[in-house]
Amino acid sequence: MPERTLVADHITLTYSGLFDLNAFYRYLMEWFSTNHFVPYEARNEEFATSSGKDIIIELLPYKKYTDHFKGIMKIEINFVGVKPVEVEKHATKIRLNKGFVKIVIDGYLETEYEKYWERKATLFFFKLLFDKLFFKRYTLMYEKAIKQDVYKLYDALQHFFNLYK
Amino acid sequence: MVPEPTYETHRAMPTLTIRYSGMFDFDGLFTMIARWFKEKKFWYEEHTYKHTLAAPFAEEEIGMSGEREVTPFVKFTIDVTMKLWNMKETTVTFKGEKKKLLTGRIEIKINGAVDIDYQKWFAKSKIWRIVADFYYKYIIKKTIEEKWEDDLFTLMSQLHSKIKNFLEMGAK
Repeated sequence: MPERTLVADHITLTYSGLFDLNAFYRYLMEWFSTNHFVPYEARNEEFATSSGKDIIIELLPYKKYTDHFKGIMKIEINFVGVKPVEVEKHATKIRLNKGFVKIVIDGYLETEYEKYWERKATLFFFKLLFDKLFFKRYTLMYEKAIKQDVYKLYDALQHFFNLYK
Repeated sequence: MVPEPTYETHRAMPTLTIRYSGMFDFDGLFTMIARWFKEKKFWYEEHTYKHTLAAPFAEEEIGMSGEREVTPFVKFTIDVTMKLWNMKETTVTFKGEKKKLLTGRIEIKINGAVDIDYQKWFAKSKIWRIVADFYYKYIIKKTIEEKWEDDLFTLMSQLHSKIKNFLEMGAK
């Protein structure tokens, strides 16, 4: 098993009101591609309830920094009671969604994802020794990089939902 | 006995999961997936079909898979498993036409794998195994991990978004 270190823990964003669900999804995918993340959608669930649609999305985008270090984000998006609404903007009617959304982002740094140094106990010991002692500077550097990416995404999502207003 | 290669030759991709609850056109979905396999030149087969009746609802499990030979050395496999619960048939009038739809819960799992040396050319002797290990690790490694694996995952993602579009899911 590759070693995973939790770098950013439960960075949470909540929003209630109007939003464009499709535009949000497209925006997220665009953000991944511009920031060189491979988008991996592990789960996409949709349930019809009496109060609207409930949608759960779990994304695990990753970025390979080197052959040894890999940054992973775990993004859990929960939409509750999503309903379609029509809003008039500049004298034109547009279709939007209304509901509650909660986004939780975790950031991980995975080392040795190719499992090369895990074949023998001695190799694994040397891998740990190098990670924690000799290459500590690099480990810290990549931990910082994934943490920065998590906060960058958090800021981007805040911009999307206009939370700076 | 010929030893196993140290390099993984069955390279499984991460699973993509879709869960949906509501009304949907199951026949249309089934045809769409089968057609997609044929369009992308996969050798398509339906390997599982289970139907359980637990009145008043029914349950179904369907397994479909597709295989495509990329080169005589590499093969792509995509496996789609569909599970349906609380199934009930309803007739709906859509654009003046009567249509039979299903209401219930559906779970679709898409799995994929890149199989290297699927014809077992390198499994003949110990010497060939050593040659294979050298070939995988130092000559063809980048092509496997950066081309074939990416190509297969792109195909899986395409099917994934096609299913989401068909089910008219919100986040697509």
